[in-house]
Amino acid sequence: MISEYLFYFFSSLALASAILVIRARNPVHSVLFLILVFCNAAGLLILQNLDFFAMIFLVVYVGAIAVLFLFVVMMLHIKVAEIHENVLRYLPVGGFIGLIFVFEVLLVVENDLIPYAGWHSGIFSLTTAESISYLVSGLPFLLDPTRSFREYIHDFQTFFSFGSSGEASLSVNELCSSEMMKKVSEVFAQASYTEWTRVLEQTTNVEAIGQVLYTYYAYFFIVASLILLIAMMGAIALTLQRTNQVRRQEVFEQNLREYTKTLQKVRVQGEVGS
Amino acid sequence: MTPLFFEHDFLTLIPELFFLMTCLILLGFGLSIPSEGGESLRVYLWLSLFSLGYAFALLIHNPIEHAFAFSQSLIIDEFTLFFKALLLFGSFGTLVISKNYLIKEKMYSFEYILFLLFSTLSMLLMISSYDFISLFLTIEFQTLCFYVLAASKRTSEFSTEAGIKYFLLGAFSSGILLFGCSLIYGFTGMTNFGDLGLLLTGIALPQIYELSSFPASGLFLGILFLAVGFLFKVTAAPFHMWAPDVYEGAPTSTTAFFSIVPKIALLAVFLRVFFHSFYDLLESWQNILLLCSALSMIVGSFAALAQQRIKRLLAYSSIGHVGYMLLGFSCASLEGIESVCIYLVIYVLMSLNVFALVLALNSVNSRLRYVSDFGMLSVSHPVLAFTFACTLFSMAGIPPLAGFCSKFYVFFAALGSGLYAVAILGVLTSVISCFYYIRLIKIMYFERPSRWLTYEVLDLEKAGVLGLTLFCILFFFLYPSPLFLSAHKVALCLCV
Repeated sequence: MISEYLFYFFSSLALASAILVIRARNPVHSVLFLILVFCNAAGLLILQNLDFFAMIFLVVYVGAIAVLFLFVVMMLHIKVAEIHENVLRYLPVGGFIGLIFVFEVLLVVENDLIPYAGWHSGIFSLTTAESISYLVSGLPFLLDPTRSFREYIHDFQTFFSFGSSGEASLSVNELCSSEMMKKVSEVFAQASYTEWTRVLEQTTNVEAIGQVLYTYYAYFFIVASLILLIAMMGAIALTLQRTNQVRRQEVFEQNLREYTKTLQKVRVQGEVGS
Repeated sequence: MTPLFFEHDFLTLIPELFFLMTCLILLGFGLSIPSEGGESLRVYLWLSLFSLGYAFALLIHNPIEHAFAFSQSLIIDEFTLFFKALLLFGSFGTLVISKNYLIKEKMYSFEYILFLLFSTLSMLLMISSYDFISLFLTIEFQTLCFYVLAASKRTSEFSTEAGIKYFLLGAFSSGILLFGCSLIYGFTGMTNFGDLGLLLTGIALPQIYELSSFPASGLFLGILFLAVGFLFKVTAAPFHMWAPDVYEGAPTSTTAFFSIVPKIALLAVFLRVFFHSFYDLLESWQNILLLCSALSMIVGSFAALAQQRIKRLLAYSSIGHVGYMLLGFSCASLEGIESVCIYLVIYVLMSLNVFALVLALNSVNSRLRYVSDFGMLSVSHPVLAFTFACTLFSMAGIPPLAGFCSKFYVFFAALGSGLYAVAILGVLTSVISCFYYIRLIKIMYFERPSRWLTYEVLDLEKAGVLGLTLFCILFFFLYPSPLFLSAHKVALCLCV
C-alpha cells in the first residue's frame, strides 16, 4: 500500500518537474529540475527492486551528466530573455502533435493495459464472461502456495466440466455490473503468489547483470564500447585546434636521438690557460 | 584446452573483426604521422582503401554462409552477404572519389577517413543485426560517426550548421526508434527478430486475432514508431526536411557518402525487421510505407524543380529515389524485395557516377555550386558532359539505360501486388522528374554560364570510377541476369 502511494508520489513529482525543466526561465533552474527528475526516476527504480540501477542512474545522470550541464550553462552565459521568445509561435503545431501522441498512448492504454484478464479466454476458447467468472472463483485458490498439486488438478477438472456444459454462464449485464467488477478488483488486490525461482535461488541485481553481460550480451558490450570510442574521437576531432604556433612534443624524434651526440664536451678557447 | 565461449561466433565474423582491427590500427597510425600536408593523407587514404578491399575479399570468401552469432544477436546469410558487399563497394567508391577533394579543401585530418571507416564498420554490423538491441546500438554508432562527418569542415559555418541540424534531428529520430523498440519489447517481451516472427505467426488471421486478445494495438504503436524512426533515417518524405540542409552544408565528399551508403544498410536491416518479424502484421506497416513512398516521390519530383544549387538538387533527387525503393518495399512480395535490391545496386552506381562528376569538376577559381555552372560543359569537357548526360538520362528512366530497368521492375512489382494507384503515381512523378534531369542536360549543352569556371585535370582514380559506373549504366540491359539472380537469392532468404 505504501509502495503504491510512493509510486504516485515519485511519478507525479517526476512529471511536474519534467514540465518545469522546459518551462523554467532560468537555465540553471531547469538543470536543477532535471536533477529532480532523475532523483524521482531513481526512486521509481527502487520501487521496482532495481537497487543497482537506481544507484547507477544517480551516479551517472546526476553525478556526471547533470553536473556537466550545470557547468556548461553557467559558463556559457545564456541570455534568459532569448529562450522564451517563441513559445506561443510553436504552440499550435507542437500542441497538435502532442495531442496526437496522447491519444495514441491512451488508445493503447484503453485496449491493452486496463486488465480484465482476457488472456485466458483465447487459451480455453471460452467467452469472456465465462473466463472472468472462472477467474473470480478460482484465482485466490490458484495463487495459494500452500495448496497441493492434487487440489489444483481437481480444480481444473471441475472448471472444465463447468465451462463446457455451460451451466452457469453469466450474462453480459451481470458481468458489467459494478458488483462484479468490484469483485474482480478485490481478487486482484488480494492475489499474492510465490515465485519459486526466487525462493530457490536469490540473485542480486549486480549478479544478474554480471551473469549475462559478459556472456550472452558480450557483443552489445563491445559495440557500446566502440560507441564511446567514437564519441570521444568525435569530440576531439571537432574541437582540437591544430596550429603551427604551438610547440609539440615529437616522441618519435626524441627516441631516435642519440644521447652520445646530444651531450658534448665543448672546448672553449681562452679558458685553457686559467 | 577448453574451447572459448564464443569461439565459433568470432569465426563467423572474420570480415568485421578484421575491419575493426584495421580501423583501430589506423587510429594508432594516424596519431603518429604528421597532421599537415596532403602526402600523409594520401598514404592514409590508400591504407584505408586497402583495408576496405581486404574486408571485401574476406567477406566474399567467408566459408561460413549461414550462421547466428553471439546468442542470436547477429545473423549471416546470403542476404547479409549481398548488402555487405554492396556497402563495402559503395564506401570504397566514395573514398576513391573524395581523395582529391579532401586534399584540395585542406581537410588534412586523418579522423575524417577514420570516421568513414568506422561508420562502414557499424553499417556492416547493422546489416547483420538480428536483435533490437544490436540494431539500435549499431544505428547509434553509425549516426554518431555521421554527426562528426557532417560537421567535419570546421572552417565552414555551413558545415557546422549541418552537423548541429543533423545531430538534433538524428537524436530525435533515434529516440522515436528506441521508443518503438521498447514498446514492442514491452508488449511481447522479446527483442529477437526471429522470436518475434515466431510469436506473431498467423496473428492476422481473424479467428486467431479475435480469440487470443493479443495486445495488438500496443504492438501497432511500436511498429509505427519503428517505421517513423526508419523513415527519418532514410530521408523519406514527411521526415525529409533535414536532408537538403545537411546535404548542402556538409562537405561534398560527405554528401556523397550520406546519399550513397547509409541507405543500403538501413533498407537491408529494416527489410529484415518488417519481413522477418512483422510480416503477419502487414497491414500495420504497409500503409505507412506506401504513404511515405508516394509522398517522397511527389516531394522528390516537385521540390527539385525549383532548386538552383546542385547539391540540393541531388538531395531531392535522392529523396525521390528513396520513394521508389519504398514502393518496392511496401509491395511485401518476393518481386518487391528483388526490385528493392536491384534498385539499390543501380542507385549506388548512378549516385557514385554523379558525385564523382560533381567532385571532379573541381574548379580552380571558384567552387561549383549552382546548376547554371554546368553551362557549356559540352564544349569544355565533352566526355564528362556525355557521361553526365547518360547518367541523368538513366536517373530519369530513359529506356535502354540501367535506371529504366530498376524503375520498371519496381512498378512491375507494385502492379503485381495490386498497388495500382501508387504505381501510376510513381510513373507520373518519374515523368515530372525527367524535367529537371533533362534541364541539366540542356544547361550543359545549350546554355552559356553566368560565370566561367576553369576546371582541374581529372585524376586517374575518379576517371576509373566514372568509366566503370558509366559502363555498368550503359550496358546493364545487355546482361542483367547476374544481378537478377542474386536479388532473387536475397529475396528468398527473407521467405522463411
